[in-house]
Amino acid sequence: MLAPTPQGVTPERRAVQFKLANGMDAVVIPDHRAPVVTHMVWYRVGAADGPSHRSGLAHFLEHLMFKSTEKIADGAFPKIVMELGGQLNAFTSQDVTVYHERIAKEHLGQMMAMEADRMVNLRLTEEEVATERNVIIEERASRYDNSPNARLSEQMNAALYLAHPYRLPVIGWAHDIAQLSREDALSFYKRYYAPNNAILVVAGDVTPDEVRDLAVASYGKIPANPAVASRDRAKEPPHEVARRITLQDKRVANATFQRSYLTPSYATAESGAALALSLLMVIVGDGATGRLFRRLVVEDKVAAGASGGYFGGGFDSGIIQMQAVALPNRDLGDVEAAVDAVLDEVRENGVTELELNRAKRSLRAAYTFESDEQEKLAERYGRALSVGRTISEIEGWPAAISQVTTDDVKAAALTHLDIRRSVTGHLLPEITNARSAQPRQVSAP
Amino acid sequence: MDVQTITSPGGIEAWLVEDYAAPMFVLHYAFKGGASQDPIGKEGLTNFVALMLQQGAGDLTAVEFQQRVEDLAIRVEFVPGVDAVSGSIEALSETRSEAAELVNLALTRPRFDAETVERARRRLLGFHGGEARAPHLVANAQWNAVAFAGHPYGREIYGTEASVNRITPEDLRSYCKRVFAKDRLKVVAVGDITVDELGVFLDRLFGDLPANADLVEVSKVSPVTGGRLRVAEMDVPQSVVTFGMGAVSYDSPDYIPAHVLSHIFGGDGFSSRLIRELRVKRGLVHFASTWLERRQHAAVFRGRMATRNDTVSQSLQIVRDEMQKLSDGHLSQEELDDAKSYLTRSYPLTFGSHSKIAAQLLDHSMDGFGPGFFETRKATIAAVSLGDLKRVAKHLLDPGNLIISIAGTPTLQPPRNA
Repeated sequence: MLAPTPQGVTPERRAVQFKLANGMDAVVIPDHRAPVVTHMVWYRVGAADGPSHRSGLAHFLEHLMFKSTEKIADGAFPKIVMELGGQLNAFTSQDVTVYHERIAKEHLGQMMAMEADRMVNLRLTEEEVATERNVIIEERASRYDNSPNARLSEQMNAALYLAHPYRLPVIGWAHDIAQLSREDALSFYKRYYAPNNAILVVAGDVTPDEVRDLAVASYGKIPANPAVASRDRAKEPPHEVARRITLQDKRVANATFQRSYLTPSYATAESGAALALSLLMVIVGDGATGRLFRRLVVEDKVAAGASGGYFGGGFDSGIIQMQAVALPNRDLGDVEAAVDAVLDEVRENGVTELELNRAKRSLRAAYTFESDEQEKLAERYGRALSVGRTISEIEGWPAAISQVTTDDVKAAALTHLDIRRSVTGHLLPEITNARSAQPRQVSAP
Repeated sequence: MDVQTITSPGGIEAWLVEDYAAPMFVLHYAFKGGASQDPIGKEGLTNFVALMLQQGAGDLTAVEFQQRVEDLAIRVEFVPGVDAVSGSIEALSETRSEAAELVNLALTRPRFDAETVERARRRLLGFHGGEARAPHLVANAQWNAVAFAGHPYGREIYGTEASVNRITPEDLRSYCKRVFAKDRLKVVAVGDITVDELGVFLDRLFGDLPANADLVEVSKVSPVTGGRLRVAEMDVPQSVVTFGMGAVSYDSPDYIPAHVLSHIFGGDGFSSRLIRELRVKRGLVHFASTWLERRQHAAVFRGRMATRNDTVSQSLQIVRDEMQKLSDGHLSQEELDDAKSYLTRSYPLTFGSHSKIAAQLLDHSMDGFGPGFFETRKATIAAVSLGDLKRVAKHLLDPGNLIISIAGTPTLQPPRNA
């Protein structure tokens, strides 16, 4: 049989890491295929670091970072980047807030100067803050309030964590967003935005020495903020009971099942458990060859689709999620029973060598294909370093995946598919006589 | 970047960008046809076929086919479109020839086993009951139905529950025979492959397809003029608004000026007029954008935004007012220069990976441009003058022609004149 070994044929891409005198970390991933660079600043602060009565604060600040400084007028930051032909954006997760640009390499120095400027010189007016708050309320409506599945996911998350701030949505609860103020944003900014709480990631057509010189001349001029402390978040107590929630929504036609398990992450797991969980969930939940799909969709014919995955990138924990959409005439109870049968089987008997080898090939190939895209390459390093992992762990991942045994996978299933650490969610249609999506002609302008 | 035009020993043409930085290779291809070929009453057929192509072929059952894909560590996709069915293959160099054989099997000997067809049908019906009810899809479908009433473009690629229920395995089989043919094929290859190797690959992949497709002629069409406003009532807190009108086609000299105009009005990033007026100044929306839509038989200028039900009227009035300003010639040289600078200088970023290069070049090829287009594009954009822009704005952007489709429960007031 053919056994491609992507880790053997991929040219070794060694990222280079260094630290500035003020404590800012930097990593450079040379990629000389095109004269383009990806420049990212990863702040080690995310939604889970804000005060619990101000959910959404980190994301709110991310939006406001596009306002002015003394040097850059309101709205000018994106305008300058775009005039130079660059693209830019930002995102916030539970653990990080990230700003990034892709641009021709000759503009890297200017991007660094602009990012360094807004690291400490942000100005905000009351009016800018009020307007942006409304933008976020619209964003929340698009992403959550308008979508039944997203509403269920948000509720599942709130139920999964008993104490840890991951229970709060990154975008924030609507009532908290409405209260976020200029002072909230600025105090969060002053506390967490500092070179010693940030990681510079540059991938592209540059050498580590060039990047170091540019970084020293920009970020290097900003003094460290001694007030930045290590993360101190509420810890989860032992989980003693499984939780269940049901959400009814009139827009739902087909009942949907979701399940989440609280697990370790790559940053917290002991001795390879996260690797085993990654492989376990490829075997259980990935695509049309996964066990869930084969059992629920192909054999039992109770679901139209079924899948699952392991998300191990978190600073404090990871999560296993799975979902299945019931066929119109099938009960969600049958769907849930079939999912549990698949999980019981894997806990009891583990996985086969054939399945494991296929899952390993699949993950290693995904790693190789991902390396083709510069932004994803940069993101891979930023994501891992920002939760305390190392470059050798990142680059050694395909080889480490190869070492996992069927025993490791079985042990991971036994330990971590623990119903007491789970939430089960049912999304059901709501029977009402509410209006359906019937078009009505209103008027012609 | 060097784009070569090559012809395989078997006569299949392709564009090739050789790149040996990594031992992988990407092929993107498209068969013209697509959902515009779905028979009346069998809307959703193209979509059904695309879903089925990885569900068993030759001696391989659905699960065996998928396992083969995983064993070879390749990525295979079939994507249904309005005007074409496209596909892609990503493979490491060492599994290239097996990849060609497997995808050839899918294109020439798909199984369409009754049980697998029913499984796929259940999934498609599930889509109709679920995702298809998302407000943006409802608004979009309604826009197409109004703008293109009576034309294949007025129907949705995923059909209706009733039409999906009518599709038989025989429909799927005959569609493949009609559409998958060499004369309607466009191909782009990027990566670790030589001209000769690509020739062998193409013949293995496509060589035994029929020479000629058997397609129904699709007529040219323009979105209805004179303006329309249609609401699909949905109980959601935020309305999704799709708006647009007819535009200019690729072969028109006004195409590139219209592209620049669309960028100024509602293009990428944070500095378009719509974003400035709707988001930055007033906080009415999180996103609002406009674009020229890629269609083979119609030219469309489209936009989308989402806003609270009670701010729909205000937001729409701003869209109309901003459109009127452009139409009246309120455009500056500085805006034009900024737009040209962005559109020419950001273009290389769209070539960020093998896969992106192939996708971008295939789009150009499908639109009828030559392999040199990516080089001449810059000069064509640079040549756009303020006069061109004003001329195109005046005849393109008449707010009176706006077709507006809303999904939500908007409070609406009649528009006022700008």
